[in-house]
Amino acid sequence: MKGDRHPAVPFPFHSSSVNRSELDRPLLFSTVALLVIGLLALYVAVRSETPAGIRNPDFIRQSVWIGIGMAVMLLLAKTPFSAISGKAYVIFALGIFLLVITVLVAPKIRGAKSWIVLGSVRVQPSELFKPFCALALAALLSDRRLKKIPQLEIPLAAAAVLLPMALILLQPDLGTAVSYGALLVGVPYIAGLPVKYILCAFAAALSFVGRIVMGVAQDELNHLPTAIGAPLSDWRAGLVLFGIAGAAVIGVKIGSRIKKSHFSLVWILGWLISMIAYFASFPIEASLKQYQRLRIVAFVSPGSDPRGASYNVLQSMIAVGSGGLFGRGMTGASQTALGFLPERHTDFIFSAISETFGFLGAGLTLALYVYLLYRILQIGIHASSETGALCAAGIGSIFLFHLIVNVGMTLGLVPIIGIPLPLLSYGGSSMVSTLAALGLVQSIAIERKRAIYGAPEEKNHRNY
Amino acid sequence: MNKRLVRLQVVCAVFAVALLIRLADLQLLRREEFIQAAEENRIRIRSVRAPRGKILDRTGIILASNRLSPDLIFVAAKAPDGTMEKTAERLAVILEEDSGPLLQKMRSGRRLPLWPVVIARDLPGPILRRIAWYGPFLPGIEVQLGPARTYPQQTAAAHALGYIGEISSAELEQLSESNYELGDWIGKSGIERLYDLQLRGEDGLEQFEADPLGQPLRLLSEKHFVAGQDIHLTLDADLCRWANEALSGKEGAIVAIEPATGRVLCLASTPAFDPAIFVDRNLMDSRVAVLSDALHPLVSRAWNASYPPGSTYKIIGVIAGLTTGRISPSMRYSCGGSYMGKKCWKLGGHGSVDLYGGLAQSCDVYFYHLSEAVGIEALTKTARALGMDLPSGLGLGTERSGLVPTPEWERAHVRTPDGQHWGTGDLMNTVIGQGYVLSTPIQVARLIAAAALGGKRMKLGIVEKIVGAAGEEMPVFVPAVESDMQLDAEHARIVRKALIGVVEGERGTAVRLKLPGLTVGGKTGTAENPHGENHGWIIGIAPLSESGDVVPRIAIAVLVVHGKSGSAGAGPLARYVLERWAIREGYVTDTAIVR
Repeated sequence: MKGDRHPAVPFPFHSSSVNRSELDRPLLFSTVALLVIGLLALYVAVRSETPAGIRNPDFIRQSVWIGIGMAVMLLLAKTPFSAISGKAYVIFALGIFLLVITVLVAPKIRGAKSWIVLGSVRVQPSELFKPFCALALAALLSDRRLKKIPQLEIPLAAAAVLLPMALILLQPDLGTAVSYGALLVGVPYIAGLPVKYILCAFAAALSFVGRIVMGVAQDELNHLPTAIGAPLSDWRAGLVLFGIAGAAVIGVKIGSRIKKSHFSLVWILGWLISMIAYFASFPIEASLKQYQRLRIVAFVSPGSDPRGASYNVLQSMIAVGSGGLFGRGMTGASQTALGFLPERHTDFIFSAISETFGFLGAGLTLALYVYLLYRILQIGIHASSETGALCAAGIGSIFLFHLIVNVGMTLGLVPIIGIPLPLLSYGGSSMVSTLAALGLVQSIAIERKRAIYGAPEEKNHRNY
Repeated sequence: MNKRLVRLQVVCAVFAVALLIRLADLQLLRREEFIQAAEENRIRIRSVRAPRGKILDRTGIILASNRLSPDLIFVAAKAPDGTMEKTAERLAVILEEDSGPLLQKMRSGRRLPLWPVVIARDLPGPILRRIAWYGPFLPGIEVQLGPARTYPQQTAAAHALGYIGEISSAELEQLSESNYELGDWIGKSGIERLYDLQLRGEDGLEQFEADPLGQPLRLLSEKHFVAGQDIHLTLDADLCRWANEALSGKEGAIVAIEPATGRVLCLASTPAFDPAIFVDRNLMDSRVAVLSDALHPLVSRAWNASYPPGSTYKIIGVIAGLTTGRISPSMRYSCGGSYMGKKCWKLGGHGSVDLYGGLAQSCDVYFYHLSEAVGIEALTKTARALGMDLPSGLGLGTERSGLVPTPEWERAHVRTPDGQHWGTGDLMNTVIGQGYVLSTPIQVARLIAAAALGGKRMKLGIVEKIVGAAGEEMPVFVPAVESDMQLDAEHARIVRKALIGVVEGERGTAVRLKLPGLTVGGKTGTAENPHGENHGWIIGIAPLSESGDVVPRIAIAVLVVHGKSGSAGAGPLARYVLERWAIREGYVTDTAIVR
């Protein structure tokens, strides 16, 4: 039968240092499949450049980065997870040190000090640090010493994410900084943080971000995109709203006293923080740069200025929409091939895929992505250590966030913040970071297999 | 913890489904809409400029033409960030210019990054070669062939040719039915404006596939342009040039026409301008200088300014006297230097003068008497018949139609302190071309032409024919009589004799026009100017015979504003032009001229 042709070697990796049978095959399969789709999309995206095709320097560079990333992945996968997580704090400290160095010495490239330049290679520490920040957070939240002092645990966990976020905002790189936020929600949730905390955090975020969006839209467009926006844009309306919310909280508090039921102070805290965030958003909005304001407007109203800020969104939607069911093929995909699609090999690679390969191709890509995420979280479920489970959850959260924001952006659902689509977008740091993260997840998977089936053969031999 | 991880898996699935729904919405339900948008992106239509027609003189000398100028352009979208300063520095070395202004021009291109900014125009060959060599080190810099209008004769005939400029929004609105679009060149004055539709031709269209920078990748279809038609003028480029030479440094005008047909040969006015300054950005300084010049070089003194014609107007008195029968050539008046309190220009008086002597010496007293004999009505009638209140009809722009004063006009337009209106003084002023009389040089040239032809006034024309790109000719100029006084032969002879007498006569004021081998008629005029120096006039016509059997070929009028006097101020200029014309036409040989 066909299935019997390569029973032992499903993937062509012949590294003697890694026992290939230990790698989680479904995860490896979806990783490689997405990498192949990514290279194919990159091939399409650079078709109009010279030299085109596989001799294009971008294509060659991306292939080299994939090679490096795979090596890192295999190295991390092979290292016992306990060995890595044991060094989590050290790696974290090293990462923070790198980010500080970046802010201090990095040259300004495209308005941001995000890259450390080593000869002809540019490395983005903020990308590389992502999986290790997840690891440190996981280590922190599963630390037995800390569990005894819960008053310290939550602030420390928050600080472990907010510190790198702040350093990245200093570069300034909004997109990457925001993607760290996924850790802040995902990992504590899995660690067992009551949902009410997360709800309060959401309320605070909504009062902050929502109000800025509505305020900018009001100023730039002179009309509000939605009726719901009205109470959010005016501080007097906000005052009334928070008054009502405060009354409701106090009402519940009194009600709970009468009924003698439990009332959590978190609700009052959440109300307070949301209100502070709401009013803090006014000075923040005033300090936004014009291009940042225009991006927000472009999100709220994509047709408002086809040559300006909303150009990218519109071109991306045209690319996606014109793809149809089967796609326009490599030669017919004019948006991608002729270059109307901006950033077509980096942030908008998904649009290129959608235009070239249609709904079938884009749908397959999405399905592979969801399978990859499912598999990461599945490994988390079955992880033999709490740290492993939390780490997998953190990495899954980051991937999910990237997927939602990047693909949502190409489909005109989410405002444009420049973050890549892992495994698909062109970019060395992102590629290596993603594959390193998957290496961590593989390591977690292997740790569990070892726990269940015992250590690999070679090590067993040594024990005789 | 595991329960929550499973929930997170569900969250992943929910978001993925949401994205998939949106994907289906865009790709399956709204596909047509986006396909159309993609096509609109891909396919561009570009108009291909039709070359503007040439303007030529009567012998085919080019007065206005086109050439392609290699211009240096900068496309900001093609220059990576932070390269602009370096590029500007390198360009500065290549162009041997300062980098500051170059950088400023390049920076201005950042506002519309896809729109090319012209950095330098009309680059010479060696610099073009250096640009090509350094190309890879000059990101965003390209050489583009841009159209440029050239005026090889420079200032000669500038006012008649006019100039072109980019169409204004007001013009665009006004000409909305004529296929003009923003960025088009359009004639702003003169022939360029009057015949713009014929000169511009019809632009072609190209439909092509383009990249986002608008660079054509593949031609899909095209419609060829129809080149503009050439306008052949009746102007004589030599005369125009000589006229400008003669006028250089002075304010004035020289008009020459072909009397028998009405063809305009020369329309010079100074201060003049080079029409190229409105096209070439390298000449921006000259443009500013011309536009801010207090003497208004753009205004043609030949047709758009009127002056008292002075004694040239006396020709009208002569004709009026003869046609009414109130004056005969032999009638004499005595000039003692003044008459009825009005002075003759020669304070000592001319003694007893007849018609010939009166005109030749331009005796004011003779004409005072004449005016009394003839009366204002006959003077007015004659002046009107000779077109002194009519514009040239050439349509070259705003034009003065002169002023032939009548008692009715005076009552309607002049306020006198004592309530006294039109009197003998006004009549006497009118006959010597002073007072309220105003004429343009073109009218004065037409006056002597008509006078020499027995009162036959030809319709003036400046466009001979229009020639299409394929060589098909459309004649425009047809000689036509506009009005004819039909002087009887004897009267016409007397007028011609009198005109010849002004040049050839013993004490003739236009003696400067005397040329061996060529009989010239003429008249001078010194127009009193209460605001400054007197204006000098001289008119001439040649060849002229008393009998009228030689057809005159040129009538010339020269005005020198503030030229002090007709014979001394304007005379040498007319002489300069007429002498060269006579040599070219073979009437006289160079050596025969006695200065």
